[in-house]
Amino acid sequence: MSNTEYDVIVVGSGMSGGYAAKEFCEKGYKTLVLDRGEMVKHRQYKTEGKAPWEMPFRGDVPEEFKAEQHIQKDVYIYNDYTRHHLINDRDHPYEQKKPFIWYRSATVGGKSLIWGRQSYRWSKLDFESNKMDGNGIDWPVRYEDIEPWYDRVEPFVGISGSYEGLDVLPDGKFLPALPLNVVERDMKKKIEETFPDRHFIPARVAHLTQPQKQHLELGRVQCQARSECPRGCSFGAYYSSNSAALPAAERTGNMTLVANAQVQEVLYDQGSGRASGVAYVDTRTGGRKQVRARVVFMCASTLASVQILLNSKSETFPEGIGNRFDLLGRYIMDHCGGGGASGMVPGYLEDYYKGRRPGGVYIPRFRNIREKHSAFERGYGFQCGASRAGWHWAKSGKGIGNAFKEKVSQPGNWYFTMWGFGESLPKYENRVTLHPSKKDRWGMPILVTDVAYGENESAMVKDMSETAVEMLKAAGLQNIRPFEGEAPPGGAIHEMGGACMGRSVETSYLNRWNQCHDVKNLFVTDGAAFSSVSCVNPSITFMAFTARAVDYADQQMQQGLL
Amino acid sequence: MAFLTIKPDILILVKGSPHILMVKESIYMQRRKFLVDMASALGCSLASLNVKAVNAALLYSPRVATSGEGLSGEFLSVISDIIIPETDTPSASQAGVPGYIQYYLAEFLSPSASKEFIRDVDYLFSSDVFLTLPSEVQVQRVQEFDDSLGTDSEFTAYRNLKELIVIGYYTSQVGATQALRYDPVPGPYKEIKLAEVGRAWL
Repeated sequence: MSNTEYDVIVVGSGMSGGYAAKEFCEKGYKTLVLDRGEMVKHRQYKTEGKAPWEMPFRGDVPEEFKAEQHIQKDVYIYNDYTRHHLINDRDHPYEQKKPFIWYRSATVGGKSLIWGRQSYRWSKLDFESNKMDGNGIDWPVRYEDIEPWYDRVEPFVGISGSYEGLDVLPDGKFLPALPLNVVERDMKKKIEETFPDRHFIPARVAHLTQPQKQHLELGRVQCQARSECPRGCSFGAYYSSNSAALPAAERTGNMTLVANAQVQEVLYDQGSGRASGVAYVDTRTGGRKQVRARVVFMCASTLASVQILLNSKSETFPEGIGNRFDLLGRYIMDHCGGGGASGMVPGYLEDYYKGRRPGGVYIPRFRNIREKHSAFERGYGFQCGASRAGWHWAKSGKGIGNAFKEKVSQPGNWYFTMWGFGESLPKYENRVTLHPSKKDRWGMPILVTDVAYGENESAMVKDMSETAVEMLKAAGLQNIRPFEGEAPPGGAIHEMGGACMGRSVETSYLNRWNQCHDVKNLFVTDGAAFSSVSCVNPSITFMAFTARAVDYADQQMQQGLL
Repeated sequence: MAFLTIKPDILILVKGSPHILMVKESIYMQRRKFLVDMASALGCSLASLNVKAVNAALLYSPRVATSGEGLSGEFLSVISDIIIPETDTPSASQAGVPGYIQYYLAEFLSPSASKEFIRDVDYLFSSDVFLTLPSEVQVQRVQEFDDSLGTDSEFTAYRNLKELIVIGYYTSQVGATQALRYDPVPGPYKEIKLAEVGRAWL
């Protein structure tokens, strides 16, 4: 056992953990950050800037590596440039009672290094839906509680966006928006004229379109439109823990960051009724350590945090720390998807672009706002974009000789694609548990997922494709193809729930401060804390809740209550 | 004349010893269809070819012809340059595509997948014979295969080989920077007219 003492232990260094570390360190707390992944320091991104001809197989991944990453190989960013940022599935098994895709980071910085970077505030409606339609448990907070924390987080992150004044998608503190292109500008007019309740706006993304002082101080500069983000970005032009929060924490001198540290358990002290620290395994040596602190923040990612908490067993809490009412692991959600459409845009053949724009178009939720939809509760938004076809068609396309080569040298038609992301309903029976006997190679009991979508999600995904088609028709597109099929849970990589916030210990794991009802110095501020999922991307909301919880914990510590 | 140009191919194929079990049915059927199509394209009926030779060709095992060692640089150069010839920019072979394909087959694919790829391509083209054909017939032959892309009678071996050639070329330094445009640090993003860059981006 180590004698090391810290004020705070933060488990995980991704979207939530990195920000928690920054906030605690800046407030003067000695903070230990433990991450299971390999160390990846900012600007030490081994595939960054490599041209395809500098890669052995031009970016393609040999089967022997895919076999090691039989789940991760299907994630949309997976290639030879990024695979080392994703976990080895053979070393980190889990069991699926029903299909659940679990994409996981293999590095310090977590999924913040490889995320999609779309950044939207949740709306008033999002925090009220559980109460309004009776699904899940009522959030113990409302938009107004979180709003000031968005205000705090967004300028640090750096989010480009346009001011739209929409209730369903509140404006934030934005850097200049990425522009819609000429095709999208014309589509916007047609779609908004035909469907006045549907808004066609620039995607809001965590990219520095106009870096501010606090970005430049961390060495973060303007986005260079390389669109190679998941390899890591030495410009720091998109937000990651590695480029922003962890360096901000480090410069205070208050952070100790330990990589390759798989936390297995939050330790509970029966006498004080508090968490005393955590136990972890060094994944390289197998060595076991315990560390102690006044406060523990769980930010290990939604399912990993739940897994650790379930495995934190004591006489008082035989089913996992703070889990008196069998609520830990329940209400697992993700964004449902698989609906959408694409089509060809006639014309605009003289128009082109320079740079690979990191965000396109967003169409915020328009279902179940004023009128109730007959087939489903809640709603969905679309992530979209228009671009010209490049050379890839030639891999399977027809043609040989001079004419073929000439054709490939020119960009093809414009295409517009829209992908729906829907709000799945919180369900008590959708849960994860620990396997009774199977463990990973470091002795951690593996997770069992038992999560499935229902009729509401199926109806919503079907509607996504229908509304996508009608919008593309209204915009005059051709060869319109609706998407078919539903993505299984986990597929959107927006998994949330499992340690939900609520109003009472009988109905929820956490209180309104992301604090465990039964263990006051234990906080969960990643996606596990979420009692519903909205239909917008969650990362900046994880960060806003984290900032708010850190502020609360700070006050409690100052008052001697923690 | 057309008949004569295909004849040496068929005659040499007869020398191969039959290992029908090693040939997948799809490949067998594809080759049969190819022979039929080829005869038709060359203005003769299948019946006018030596029937025994055709049957022998259908039973032919490419392993014998290639010893399973790989596809020759010369063969790959010829095929690659028929698909991507030298114009105002370099050809596929000038961009090193044959070497990339050989490397890919040796290092990327598993030994069994590599053998299968080589066998199927060799079987489809009779690669050693292909090199003896006049260049216009070589082109005609590749055109035949290419016309089948995206149809029910697509030649899988040709599709796979063409994909490798296209990837090998356009992701090479020559292909990306000369045949296409490549800008590793293009930012900040902006709209332009196509005329300002003149070509598609990698």
